[in-house]
Amino acid sequence: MTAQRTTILIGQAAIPLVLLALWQVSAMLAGDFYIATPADAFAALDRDWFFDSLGATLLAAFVGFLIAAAAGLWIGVTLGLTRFWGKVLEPVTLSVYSIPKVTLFPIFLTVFGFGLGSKVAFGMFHGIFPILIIAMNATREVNVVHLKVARSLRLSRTQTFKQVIFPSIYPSLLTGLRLGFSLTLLGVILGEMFASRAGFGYELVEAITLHDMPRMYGIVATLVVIAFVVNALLLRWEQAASGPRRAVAAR
Amino acid sequence: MSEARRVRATRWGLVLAFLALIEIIPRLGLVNPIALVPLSEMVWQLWLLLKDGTLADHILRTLTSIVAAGALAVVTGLPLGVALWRLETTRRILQPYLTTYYAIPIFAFYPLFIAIFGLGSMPVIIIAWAWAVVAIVLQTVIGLDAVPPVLVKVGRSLRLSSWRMFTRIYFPAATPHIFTGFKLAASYTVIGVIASEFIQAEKGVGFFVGFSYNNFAIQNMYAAILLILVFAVALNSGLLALERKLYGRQG
Amino acid sequence: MVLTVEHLSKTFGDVEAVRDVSLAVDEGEFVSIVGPSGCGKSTLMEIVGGLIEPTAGRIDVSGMPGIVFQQESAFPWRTVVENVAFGLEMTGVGKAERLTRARDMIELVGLGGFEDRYPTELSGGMRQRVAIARTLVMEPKIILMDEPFGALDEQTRLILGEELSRIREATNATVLFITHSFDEALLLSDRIVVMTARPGTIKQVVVNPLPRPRDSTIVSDPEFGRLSGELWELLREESMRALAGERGR
Ligand SMILES: Nc1ncnc2c1ncn2[C@@H]1O[C@H](COP(=O)(O)OP(=O)(O)OP(=O)(O)O)[C@@H](O)[C@H]1O
Ligand SMILES: [Mg+2]
Repeated sequence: MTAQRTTILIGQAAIPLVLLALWQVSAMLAGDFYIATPADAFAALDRDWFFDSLGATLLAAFVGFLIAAAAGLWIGVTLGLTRFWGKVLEPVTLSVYSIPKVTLFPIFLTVFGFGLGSKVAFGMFHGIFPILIIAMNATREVNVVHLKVARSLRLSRTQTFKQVIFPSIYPSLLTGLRLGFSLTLLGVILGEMFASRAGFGYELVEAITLHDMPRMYGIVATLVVIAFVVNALLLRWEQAASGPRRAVAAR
Repeated sequence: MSEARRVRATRWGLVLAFLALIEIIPRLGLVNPIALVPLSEMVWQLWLLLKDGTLADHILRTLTSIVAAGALAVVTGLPLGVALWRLETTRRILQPYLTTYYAIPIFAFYPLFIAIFGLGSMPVIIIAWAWAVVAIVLQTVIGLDAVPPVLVKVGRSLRLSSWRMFTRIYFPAATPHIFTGFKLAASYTVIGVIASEFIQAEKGVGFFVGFSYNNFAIQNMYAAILLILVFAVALNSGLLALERKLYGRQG
Repeated sequence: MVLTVEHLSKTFGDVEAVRDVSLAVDEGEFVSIVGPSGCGKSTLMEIVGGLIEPTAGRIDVSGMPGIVFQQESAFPWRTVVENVAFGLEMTGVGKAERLTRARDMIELVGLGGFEDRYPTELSGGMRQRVAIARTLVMEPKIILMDEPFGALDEQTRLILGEELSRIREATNATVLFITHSFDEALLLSDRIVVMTARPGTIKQVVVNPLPRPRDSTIVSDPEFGRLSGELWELLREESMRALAGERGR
């Protein structure tokens, strides 16, 4: 039992190292015209643009995410509470979720223009769906008896939301937010690739144009690390929220 | 029954109203004519492009990539899922990484694969496969885990061999989940292929959208977007309907 | 009268749940409702509690009724004391006061020492006491209880029934109590309303002559047995009708 736990922990810690080693070996086999080594990639992360890009990408992702979270929560809960509209719109939201959204980018560009506006909007457009869909489903599953308790105490809509609906959907909502953040980040990076002069997406395109391999690898590795760290933090929060105490929820 | 019909009627009403808006807004000159073209013109243009064969090559390329990546995802994803389900320790080592997998902005890797394999189908298929395969792996593991213990006991009581246990009990019991994996993989493959083509390619419907945009051929662009959306939504709804038909009664 | 119901009817679509029910409950009275499953007891209670609108009829309740639901209703995300203080919090009672009142009530329902536990850490009976305490702490003029002990075993029911009697004497609350158990009804009530199969109407109101105070040993009293038989006599036919109705559907 403990021996197995140790194996697992060692294994988990080893995975990044294994990936790094694989990267190193592939780079050596393929040559630096095709794959940059980890050391070169790291060296290419130049102070001049690195922190500017980091700031630009995270700012856009953060703003897009906040809007996606607020709007997704609001729409999702509303649709979850009004059975009829939920049924009407559920397949529509699922369909939009499943389309290749990148191809719609020209439309965002036309509406929001070149720069911050379109990448924030595009990030939000990517991030809102998981939040909305999960909030809607979780709201539908709020224990009806709990809602009756709220009504028997003549709670207002706001009170009912704050005291009954929100705590009920909270653990699922965190899952939605985690997925939503990842997709928002993806949307922002895609937006930067096509219509921005700042951020990692833009730098990546620059590096491609110049065939600057170390920089390309440096940027991709950075993005993976950011995505992983943010996701791990949100996952922690999520797991804490659905801990053993609440595991056997009321339903 | 009558409610279900009302739901469907309302949904179609909304969709039609949306389509009507796309028709009317540009006709009334409410937006810049180079920003949006009326729906009927999109349809007509799409018809022309299909008739004169302009799109044929692109469609063929896109479909080939989708089928190749999808088939590859199924062929590799299922065995990997079964293996992971059997190998308890490996699975627990990989668990946190698998949960984080979809947080990674996968399209950032695309330029790296272009650098290695050159512009063509190969990098597109790799990206689409990588995006889709993990969904199948995860759903296979979830499905096999969710097999009710009592069914396993039934198998044991009949002294089934482990091969038969797997083919007669575990696998059939897990198919609803595995099918969900296929469904997700299908839309991820479509997204992966078309988005990659849009980012950078020499052929494909996704490429055609970006190419038309860059050359101010707005009608062509919208015609291709329309084709993509119709295809993605039809595929998704078709799989959803199939899922309901196959497994709807199993709950 | 704390509660007056006149010619109340309720129809859901084409299901007639309650038909022409009239009932008056006096202050401090404990009235039980028994009736076959599906006869509209919960519906009646939710109308009285203001949760659903009747199709026809009039209700007059003094104050906001407190309700204990048939299903478990403690919030899993709140501790016992937070659950019990919930209603007070919502009506703007200050923190110190509501915690004191909640603690007293928790003591009263016999959950002292469990204030900071979460509902999932309690037994079913304890969770139901949390829901009862959450209702009682509001000091409602009238308490509606829908099979509050329905999910519990017979012994626990009787013990909780005794506790409920004790609490009621201490608070002098008026109670409308739905149950399937004659023992419970006879132990607790002043009057017992027997309902017919769906559509539920009042078949008969039985006045409970058993002297107070009562405790659970009363179940072995011969008079108790006789009354229990009488109730069963009234209900047997209705229950059979209800069952036949279910099969017919
Ligand atoms: N919201 C509703 N919509 C449609 N029908 C309902 C609704 N609520 C109750 N009914 C129907 O009304 C009838 C009475 O239901 P109710 O829950 O009041 O019965 P009950 O006497 O409390 O039964 P039990 O003793 O099993 O709890 C049932 O036939 C039920 O199906
Ligand atoms: Mg009931």
